[in-house]
Parts: sequence; C-alpha cells; structure tokens
Amino acid sequence: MNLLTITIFLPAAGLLALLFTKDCKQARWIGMLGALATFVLSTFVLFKSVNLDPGEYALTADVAWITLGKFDVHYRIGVDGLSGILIFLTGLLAVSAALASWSIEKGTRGYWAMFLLLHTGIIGTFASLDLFLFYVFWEVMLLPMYFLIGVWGGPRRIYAAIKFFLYTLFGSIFLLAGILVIYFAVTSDPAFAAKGYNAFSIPDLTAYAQQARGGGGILANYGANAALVANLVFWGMFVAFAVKVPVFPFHTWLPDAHVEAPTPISVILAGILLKLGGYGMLRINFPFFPGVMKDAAFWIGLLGVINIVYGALVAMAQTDFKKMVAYSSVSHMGFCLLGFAAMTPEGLNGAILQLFNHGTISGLLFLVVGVVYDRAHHRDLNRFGGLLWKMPAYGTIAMIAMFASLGLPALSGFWGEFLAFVGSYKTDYYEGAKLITLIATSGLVFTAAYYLRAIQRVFLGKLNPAYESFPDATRRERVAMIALLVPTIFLGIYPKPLIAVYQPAVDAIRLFVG
Amino acid sequence: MAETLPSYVPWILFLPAIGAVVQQLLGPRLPRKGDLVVVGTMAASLVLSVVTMLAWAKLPAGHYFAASWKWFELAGGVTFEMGMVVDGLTSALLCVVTIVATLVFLYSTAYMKGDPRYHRFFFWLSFFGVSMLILTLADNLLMLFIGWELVGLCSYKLIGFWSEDLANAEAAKKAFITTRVGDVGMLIGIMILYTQCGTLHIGEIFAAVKGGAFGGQEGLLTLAGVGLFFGAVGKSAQFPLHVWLPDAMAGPTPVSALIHAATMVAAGVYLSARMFPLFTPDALGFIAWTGGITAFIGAIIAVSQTDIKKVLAYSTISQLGYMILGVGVGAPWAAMFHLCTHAMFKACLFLGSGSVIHAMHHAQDLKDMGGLRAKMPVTFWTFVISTLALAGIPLTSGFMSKDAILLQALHEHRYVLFVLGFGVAFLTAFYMTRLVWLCFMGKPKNEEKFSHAHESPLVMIAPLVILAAFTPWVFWGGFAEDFFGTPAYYESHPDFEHVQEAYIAPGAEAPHHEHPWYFQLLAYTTGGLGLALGIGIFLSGRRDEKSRLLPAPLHDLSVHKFHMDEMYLDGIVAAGNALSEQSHWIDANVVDGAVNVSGAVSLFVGDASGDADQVIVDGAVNLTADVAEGAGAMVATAQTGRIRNYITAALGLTAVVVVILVFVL
Repeated sequence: MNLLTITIFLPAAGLLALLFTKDCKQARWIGMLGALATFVLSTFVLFKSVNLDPGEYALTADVAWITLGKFDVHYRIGVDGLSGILIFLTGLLAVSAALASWSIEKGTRGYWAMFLLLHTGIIGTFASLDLFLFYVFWEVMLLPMYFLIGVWGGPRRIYAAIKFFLYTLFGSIFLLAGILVIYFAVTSDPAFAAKGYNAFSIPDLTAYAQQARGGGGILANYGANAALVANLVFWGMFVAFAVKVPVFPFHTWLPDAHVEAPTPISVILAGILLKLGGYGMLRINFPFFPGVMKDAAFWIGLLGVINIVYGALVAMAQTDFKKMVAYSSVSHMGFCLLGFAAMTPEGLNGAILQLFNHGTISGLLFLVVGVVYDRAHHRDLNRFGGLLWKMPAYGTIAMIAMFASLGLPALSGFWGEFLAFVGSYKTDYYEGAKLITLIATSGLVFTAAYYLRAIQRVFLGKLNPAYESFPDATRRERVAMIALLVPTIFLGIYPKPLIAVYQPAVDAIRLFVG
Repeated sequence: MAETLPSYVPWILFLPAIGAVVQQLLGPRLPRKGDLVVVGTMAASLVLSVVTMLAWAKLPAGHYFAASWKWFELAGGVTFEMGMVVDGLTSALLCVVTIVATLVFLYSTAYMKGDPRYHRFFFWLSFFGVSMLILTLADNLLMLFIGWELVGLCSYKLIGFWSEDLANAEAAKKAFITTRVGDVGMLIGIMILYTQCGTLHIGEIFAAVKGGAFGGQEGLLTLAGVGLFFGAVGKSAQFPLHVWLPDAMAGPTPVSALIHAATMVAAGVYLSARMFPLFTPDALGFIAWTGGITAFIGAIIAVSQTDIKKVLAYSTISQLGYMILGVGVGAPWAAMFHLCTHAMFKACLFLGSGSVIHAMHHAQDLKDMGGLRAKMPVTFWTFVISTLALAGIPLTSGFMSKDAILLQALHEHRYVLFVLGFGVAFLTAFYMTRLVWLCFMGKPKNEEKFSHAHESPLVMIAPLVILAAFTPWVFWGGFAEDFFGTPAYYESHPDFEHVQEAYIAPGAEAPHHEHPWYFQLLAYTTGGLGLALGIGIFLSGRRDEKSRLLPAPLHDLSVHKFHMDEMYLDGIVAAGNALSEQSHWIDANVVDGAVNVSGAVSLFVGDASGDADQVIVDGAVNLTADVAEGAGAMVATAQTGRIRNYITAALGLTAVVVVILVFVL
C-alpha cells in the first residue's frame, strides 16, 4: 500500500480505535500514538520527497474515484519537496500538540477523535493532486477545527468557532466556484481533451496552463472573455487561500480563533492551517494562471507589506499575550506574500522557508503562552512580571522563541525574512517591488518593539508575589517545546538540509509561473 | 591576492564558541561555574589572533588570507556562502577584540563574584566574543550582518543583566530597538548591493562596482553606502541614534568596558572602514558631518554629567564620532588606528571606573567620591594615564590617532569639521580632568563610603595595568606607521585600486600629508590647555560636580542632553504607539466590523426564504451583542439555526456565480 495513503489515513484509523476505548486515559494514549505514528510516517514521506526533478512527484497513487462521463474524479496523490516538508511539519507539530493536549479533561474521546481527523484532513490536502480531492480534504479539515474551537475553547468559543467556520466557508465557495469554472472550461476545450488531460488533475492543469500560456491560458475556451474570467477565478481562488493565510483584510477570524482555541489547537492552527493558504497559492492559484499572476504580483506584494506592517502595529497594541502572538502571525505571513510576488529564487525560498519556520516558531510561541496561561489563568501582559526569575527554563525557551520570531540570525526565522527581503527588492517581475520592500523593512522595528515589550512585561522586573508559587515548565511541557526548539535552532544555523529538499519545487514554480 | 587561510584561523572563532557551549551546558556544575573555560578559550583565541596578525604581516603587500564555504544553494544557481578574510583591517580588530575580551573576562571573575547568575553572565560574555569574532572575520555582508545582530542580542542581554530592576530592562530594550532602526538601513544597503552586484561577498561587490554594476546610478550607490552606514549610526551610537549608549551603562561595568566602549560600538567604524571603497563623495560628506556632529554633542554633554559611567559613555560617543569623521574625510586607516588606541584606553577607563564603583559598594555618582587617589593608587594612576591618552596629550597613543584624523580633515578642506575637531579635543581634555579631579582628588565627599573603600584585588588591577601599558606612544610608534599609517589594507583589498580610482574622494590616495605649523601648534597645545583649564577650575576646591562650567545655553543643552530623549519619547515613540493604537482600533471596528455587517447581510439573504422571526433576532444579535462581547449563552442558542442559513446563502451564491461564469459569459 502506498506510504502516503497510510500517512493520510492513519490518524483517521485512530478514530476507529477510539471507539473501543473505555476511559479518557486510553483515549489519550491512542491520540498520542496516532500523533507519534504520523510523525514517523511523515518523516518517511519527507525522505521520499528529496532529489526529485522539477514537477516530479513521489509516492504517487492514482485511482479512479467518481466517474460520471467527463466528471472524472480520481484519488490522485503524490508529494514533491514542498508538500514533503509541510507534511513533515504536520507530523512534528502533531506530537507537540498532542503533548500539550494532555491536560484536556472534557470529552476526551471526542477531542482526540477530532484531533486525529483534523490531521487526516491536513495531510490529505497537502498530498492531493486532484482538485476535487483537494477540495474534499480542505473541507474535511474545517469541521474538526470548528468543533475543537467550539467545544474545547475559551469563554467566547462559540463566536470564535462560527466566525472561523463562516470565514473559511466564505473562502471555500470561491474555491469550489473556481474548480467548477475550470472544469466546465477545460472539458469543452478540444485542445485540452486532445492531450488526454484530466479536468481535475493538478499536474495536468498545470502543464496545460504552461502550454496555453501564449493563448488564453486554461480558460482559453472562453474566447474573448477568457482574460476576464481568468482574473475572476484567479482572485476568487486567491481569496479562498487568503482567508487561510490570512491576508488582510480577511484576517480578523484569526485573533478570535486563537484566543478561544485551546493551546494545542492554536499550535496546529498557526503552525499548519495558515500554511495551507500559502501552499494552495503555490500549488494551484499561481501555476494555473501564470498570465494573471504577472499582473497580480503587485497587488499580492502590496497585501504582503500591509500584512507585515499593519499586523505588527496591531500586535504592538495588544494586551492579551495570545492575541499579540496571533497578530504576529498575520505580520509574519506577510513575508510569504512578499516572496511569492517576487518570483525570484530568493523570494520564493524566503516565502517557503517562512512557511516552514513560522510553523515551528509560532507553534512554539503558542505553547509558551499556554504554559503561563495554565498557571495564571489569564493572559494579560500587564499583570505578569519577573517570571524569568521563577521559571528560568521556561523563560529561556520563551525568549528564544520570541527572538526567533523577530528574525534574529542563527535562529530559523531569520532566513525567511532575509531571503524574502532581498528577493523582493531584487525582483523585476513587477513594478514597484522596491518601494514595497523598503516599506516592509519598517516592520522589523515594530516587531522588535512588541516582542521586547512582551518579554519585559512577562519575564523581567520584579516577580509579582502572586506568582511566587509557579513551578517551572514540567517535563511534558519541556519536551513539547524542545521538539520545536531543536529545528528552530538547527535550521537557523544550517538551513541547507531543508532548502535542498524543496528546491526542485521552486524550480518548478519558476518554470510554470515566473 | 588571496592566500590560503591558515588552518588555525577558524579556531579563533571556534574555540570561544566551544567554550560558550561547554560553559552553557555544564556551567553550574563546573568548578567556579565554568568561568575559567570562558577566559581560557578567549585567551587561546588571543594567542591565535596574534599569530594570525604576524602571519599576515609577513605576506607581501597587497596579499591577504581568505577562504569561504558554500552555505546553501538556491534554484537558479544562487549560492550563499560563509567565509573569512584576514587582511590588516581584520587582524587589527581581531587583536583588539581578543585582548580586551580576555582582560575583561578576567576582571569579571572578581567583579561579578557572588552574583547569583554568575554563570549566565559568563555565558553571555563568551557568546558576545563569538559574535564579535564572526563579525570581524566575515568576508561577506550576510555573515557580517549575522554577527552584527548577534552582538546586538548579547548587548541586550548584558545591559539588562540585572533586569529585576525595570529601569535596566528599559535600557536594554531601548538599545536593541534603537540599533535595530539602524539595522533597517543596513539591510536596505545590503538589498541594494545584492540586487546590483548579485553577490554579498565584499571583494566581489567591490569588483562588481568597478565593473559598472551601478553604471550611471551614482545616487543609488550613495544610497547603498548611506544605508550601510546607517547600521553604523545605530551600532556606533552616532547622532541621532546615540541615545541608547548612555542608558546602556545600566549593564555591569565590565560589559560597559568591553561592549559599550571598546569593541561592539566600534563595529560600526569597522564596517565603515571595511566598506569604504563603496562610499561616494556625497556619502562621505554625510558620514563626515555625522561624525563631527556626534563628536561635538557627546563632548558637550559629557561636561555636565555627574555619573562616572555616564561621563565615560558620552566620551565614548564623542570619540566614536571622531572615528566616523575619520572615515568621512577619507582616512579609514586613521579611524581604525583611533579605534584600536581608543579601545585600550577607554577599556582601561571603564574598568577603572568599575574598580572605583566596586570599592564604593556600587555608588557611581561623583557626589559620593573624591580623594580616592590615596586609597586606590593603581586604579588612580592607570586612570590618569588613560585620561592623558584620551585627552590627546603628546606622547600618548590617543594623540597620534586623533591627529591623524584631524590632519586628514584639514587636507580634505573640511575646515569647519577641522575646527570642530580641535574644539572637541579641548573639551575632552577638560571634562576628563574634571572627572579625575572629582573622583580621585580633593577631599572625600562621602566619608562613610570612603572609609570602606579599598584597592581592588589583583585580577582586577592587573588588566588595568596591562591596558594602560598600551597608551604610551612608543608602543604604537614602532609599527603604527606600517600597520595603520600606510594604507596597507587598502592594497590588500581585492581590486581596491580600481574601485578607488572611480570612487574615492580626491586626495585620499595619499594619506601622508605635511603638518603645517598651525596644525602642529594646535595639536601640541589643545589637550594641554584643556587639562590646565580643568585643573585651574577645580584646584581651589570650591567647585563640585554640579557647578556650571559652560556658557548658559550650552549648559542647558548639556544637562538636558540636547533634549533628544524627550524628543524621541514624545515624538517618535508616542507617534508609533498612536499609530499602533489606531491600527488596533481600525482592525477591531472597521475591518472586523465590515465582516460582521456582511455576515448579517448574508444571513438576511439566507433567511429570506422564511422564518422572519429569526432574521430579526439574529440580525440584532449579530450586529450588536456578539460583536461587542459575545454574551455567552444567548449567542449560543441564537447560533444554532444560523449555520444552516449561512450555508444556504453561501451555496446559493456559489450557484449564481458559477452559472454566470459558465453559461452567461
């Protein structure tokens, strides 16, 4: 059986095992084993995704699934370096999040069922090479997330969960509409049929988009309206993915969802779910419409700089620790947009490195917030102080995480930012990139400002006597955090192993889009 | 010409790095908490640095050591490298850094004795050493930037070492953020150079510029140079970003000596000297004026400070201004010379002040001092010798290096800066005399503290003596001519000559100048006059640390530090906070508000099929209650039917869109 298929469905198989559990302790162990197995399998997947040619996929499977005449949906999966590193990231964060889920007491079986189902959805989305399958997995993710926030969340969990659900649904509509429009267009396009291409196959559509570049693109069948429809579909799909990233102005679900979600779910949300937006853009949005992308690049770059600067400014004004971290995600995901828009090797590398490294760093930051919330039962930055003296190990890890996030060299956050900056400044893919990049650099100062303020408010100064009894991070908390700290430091010093894995994917993107 | 890098050179960096890791991992369990590991590895690094310098000095003129390693490669053959280069510039700074670091580490073993976080202190000291050596050895801007940021981190951690006191944490934060502003400029410079030259390797950048990478874009090259220089403005505490350095004195005194006087703050000068061939005449003018203004402001403020470390801090700002001025007037070799001499005597002064503070049980205000000369003879004499060097008295190292800069200013026809420079020299001699007098001479002002005062232990005064030994002219006179006096490292710069032809300001090719008679007169008398005035004023004993010494307007500016802190706090910081609050408000009300309104609208559409009841309930709830506070249970019950309605609306909308796109268009 295909290793990738096993990786996708193993968490879901854990669901079956959960049916036979008798108490919450067993459920916990099933969940933990599921997460560990996912991690191990995702590591194998990662190793299978190295040394591919540009545009080549490993671990492929292709089985006809729904066949209704031209409506020919396949179970078509495969990985390249890009999906490989993101699946690995999913496995890594699964373990950390599972450890952080240990303290969940309410409805344990249901929690772990949703937790495992979520991972099937995520890995399935990364592995899909069929548009329809992609959409199905995309929606499969939505539901467990909705319940995880809505049932196991904080006081305003219902509001946050519904907001998350509706926002994502809003985006999904555009994705579905886009898929359907593409389907109708290519199935009535004789040139497409003549090649023997499948209307839902992502590699087929990418290849066709590449060949039909001089003409009207994959929507050539629209004739005179092709450019207009291509623009509509491009931006529609962009919105679908932008909601996930999240791109300004579609980001307001994120702070609410994060603040209400339990710690492990925040970790997955920031660490993985946001990455799906960027992944979707790279895999579907841009390669399908290279012609539109060229004109859209300016706007994407502009949205990137808005995310970076605006996100940082809003983060600066937060008094809730978790909300601050949430807005820092908005800011940092802006670097991905900046890098995408540039389409230079440096820019794309910066963006993809940022996808991965933001995953570990923001996951780590949410764990950090969780540790202090578990003890203090509040997250008000102004009510802490001096925790470093009481919790030195925890404080040290937290500070490393924050410095990694503010882009300090020798920690992994630096490379994404640095390469996105130089790549974005260098590009001549679109006009105005230089000005956009120059404005974006101001984000560095704001970012330093909010993180250093947070460090000062939480960790420095006199210890608040109310927190005299706080124990340092427990062994379980430490393992969860160190699991993410190790890649943060290692890739900060030596990013080459990661870079080498996904480099063919960058070549492919530049070939298809650039 | 590049020569193979001797195999021991990387160990200059690796040894302290190993020391830092070992000390961090085993620190608390090692004897003496691992401080000897840190001191020992740095001392070994010092030995290797000296060996390296001697090896370099044996090379024929124009030769240098270099090696680089591929770090990673991106699509399209874009590679990023790490590499080391050893030329005169590198070897000079290597020696300075390792000498001062070794002595300060040694000194710290006594100064920090008994501190509960003693091992953390030594970890950050050694990590600083490593970062500084990365910066020093780098042959490319990426690696240099990495070291640059890491020394900033160490500076932050060490300024705020005693962060139980929030004032220290504030000072650390201020330092990091202020220098980060400069770093943004540096990053912009790096982006421009990378875009135009396609590489970050410094030698290749020079070659590319020579090859016309900026063909016809003089303005852009100026911008790149000024951008890089802006990094130096932050790190080397130049006007207008100098405000962090005096606050940085919140750190333990050895830190002030090592990082905030001798090495890290000089990194900006090193960067400017290293990148000198890139600076266009316009950029050089900007640099020269920045340095001149900084030198002046620093000296004026130093005159009225009452904290012993603050005097030295402003003096450091002023002297860094000199060095930057040296770069700006086309004499980076003189700037580097002054960097080296200054590092020695300023480290000595700071460690001396630390010795005093240690003796006075952490009192550092001049109002508590006086008369310490008798109790602390070694500290006193080394302090005086270093003061003479700082004041630029003939036969000291400071005299030589300072005059080299001012002579160049004269020859570049920067007459205003030339006069300003001598004005600053006069002020320097004056405020240092004031400091020595108020601290060591006269009668003790605080009898109680005075009675406990004592000379510091041997590990503290030995570094003072060693550093003071570097101040006489003879030490530098022997080889300064070869090392700094001729542009040896210019020649060793890859392709420098060609870049020089195109971009260096006229006159800079010949750093050997005549000394006109009025120059000699000024040079030999200015320091002495300042000294004499200082002694004259304080000899009577009627004036104390609060006495007004400057004409009224200058005195006010001096006491209020030119109102720079207030301007930043009320201007830029306040504006930043306001912008942040505004953005937050917009986010919560406008952006999210629009979301909630559109939610309500689509709900209305979804409900249009019937159930008008729920429209009213939900619409009202949606627009008001849940937006603001999300009143728990009420919202929860109201929501149940809602999802269905939303989905109805959503799917209806999808259908309409698809139908239009597929069948209408």
